[in-house]
Amino acid sequence: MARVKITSSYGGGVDVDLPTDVRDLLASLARQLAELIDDPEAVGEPGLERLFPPASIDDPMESLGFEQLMGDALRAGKREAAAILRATANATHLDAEDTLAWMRCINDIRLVIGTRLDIQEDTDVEAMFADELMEQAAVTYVALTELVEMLARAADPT
Amino acid sequence: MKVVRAGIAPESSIPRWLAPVSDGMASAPTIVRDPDVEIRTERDVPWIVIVWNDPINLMSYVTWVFQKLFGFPRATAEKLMMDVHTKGKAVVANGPKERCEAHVAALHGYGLWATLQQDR
Repeated sequence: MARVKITSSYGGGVDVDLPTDVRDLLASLARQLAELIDDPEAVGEPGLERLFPPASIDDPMESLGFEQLMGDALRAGKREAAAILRATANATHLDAEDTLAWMRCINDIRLVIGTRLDIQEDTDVEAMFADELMEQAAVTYVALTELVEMLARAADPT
Repeated sequence: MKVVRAGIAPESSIPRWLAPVSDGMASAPTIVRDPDVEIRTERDVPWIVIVWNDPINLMSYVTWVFQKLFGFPRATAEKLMMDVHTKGKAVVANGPKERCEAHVAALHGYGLWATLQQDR
């Protein structure tokens, strides 16, 4: 990515220097993520499932109870992060709350794309660039990976 | 003459489980289950929160989330992250069920793969 720079800023926020096309891509992906979360036809789709994993490894009743208890709040939180990313996609400075929303939402988008690409520990993502069907998703995935890496380095977790 | 008191069955025909405890039947086969004790014991087993390794979340991001959510110093967060990465999972919190559920929800909010269970 050309001219991509994310640096620590005051108050737990970051300064972001990104090309317009990357910003447009982020806004578009955030909108798509919000749509996916509320898409009744996406229920059971692996990418969406990855965003809301079962809370118990072996007890379906426990997982169901957790979903009933926390599901709405979790969906609302992810919707909100997506809305903040869309609203601040062109900002050059993000406060601490915006930074958090960017990290969470961009990571969620990575999870969906990565799950659909069936990324494993030893997957060579760049080898997918040669595959016409996967190229676009793989290129996006790599770009988002770099953004999350930069955000995690620049943002102050304390 | 044999006296049979009307209405009262001979001792030998009384089912043993109706015999008074004081007559030496205390050792009768009894598995006394006190439901309260049972439930209390079940509740006493603490709950734990486990984060599982996954091939998508970045090591730097997972470390960052552990610092952010649990207030761990960076070194602690990194050690836990490495446990997740190399051992496949790590226990990141424990306590009452409600608190563990809240932790799991927060971790899911960050896209980490977390579950809770009782620590047996």
